[in-house]
Amino acid sequence: MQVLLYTLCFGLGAVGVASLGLLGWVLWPGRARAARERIEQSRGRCLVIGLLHLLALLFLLAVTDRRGGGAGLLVAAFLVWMAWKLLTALPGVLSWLGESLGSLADRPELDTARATIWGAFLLAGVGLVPWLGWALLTACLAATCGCGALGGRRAT
Amino acid sequence: MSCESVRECLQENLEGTRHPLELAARLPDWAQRHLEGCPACREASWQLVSLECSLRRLNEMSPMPVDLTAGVMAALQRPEPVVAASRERFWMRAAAVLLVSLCLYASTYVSFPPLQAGWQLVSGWSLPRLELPGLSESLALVGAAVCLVGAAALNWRWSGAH
Repeated sequence: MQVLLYTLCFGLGAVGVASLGLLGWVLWPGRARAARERIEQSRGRCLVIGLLHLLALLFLLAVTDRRGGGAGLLVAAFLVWMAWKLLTALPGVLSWLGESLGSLADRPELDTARATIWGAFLLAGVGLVPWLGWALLTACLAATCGCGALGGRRAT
Repeated sequence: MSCESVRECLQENLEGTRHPLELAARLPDWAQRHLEGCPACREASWQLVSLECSLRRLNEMSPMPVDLTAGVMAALQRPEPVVAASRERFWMRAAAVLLVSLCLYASTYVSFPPLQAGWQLVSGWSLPRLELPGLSESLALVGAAVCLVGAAALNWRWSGAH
């Protein structure tokens, strides 16, 4: 029963994330390419920016009243902004993850769509591993968010 | 009547021509008759006219400035306009966020029924509240502010906006 549950979580997670990634490549190819370039060039910076945003969100959620109101609206706006950055950077990060996985598996010449799908399966697989995997998944999502938030001409 | 003498004739009459027909019209009768029967010479006349037109265009272009090196060096030392635009965009965004926040805050005090109804609707929903042990609200607020300002500063520094 537990194996079935894990398989279901893995499958749904992988397919969902892959769909989001592929949709992102179709809807915002420019943003996806920029995110791809940024994560390739400065993973550490993306991670730091993303973790700072995540920490700020946690702090803000700790001071928010249960009822929404003005402060709640601002926190919600911040959440939406982070979700937008995550969504637009996800395709680039997934394809980079997929290509890295492909190089490890002696398949260095994956096209973008396949690399995105491989990356989504990698993320879903990591998410199944308790603690270490969850930490890696959180770091990866934070880096993705940071990658989207890291602005400017190009990452250096 | 050899091809060689016709081509010499073509070159002698080439100056100032803009079209092969114009060139052909300038040639003597014997050369025109040769061109009608010789595809190689017709091709040569086309090429010569094309070359002449290209050279004339090149000649009409503005001459290269004498102080080119000085100009390039001065341009290299000027600040990049992209950077300035990027910095301007950053401050514009910050100002826009501040303005929207102020407007939202001020709108809670406006006694306009539709606006109040909107706020009541908004205040109906709730966000999950994290209970972080040992963390007072003011400390959490300061922590959030530090994180956001730090992220913005690092973003500004790393993205080349300075």
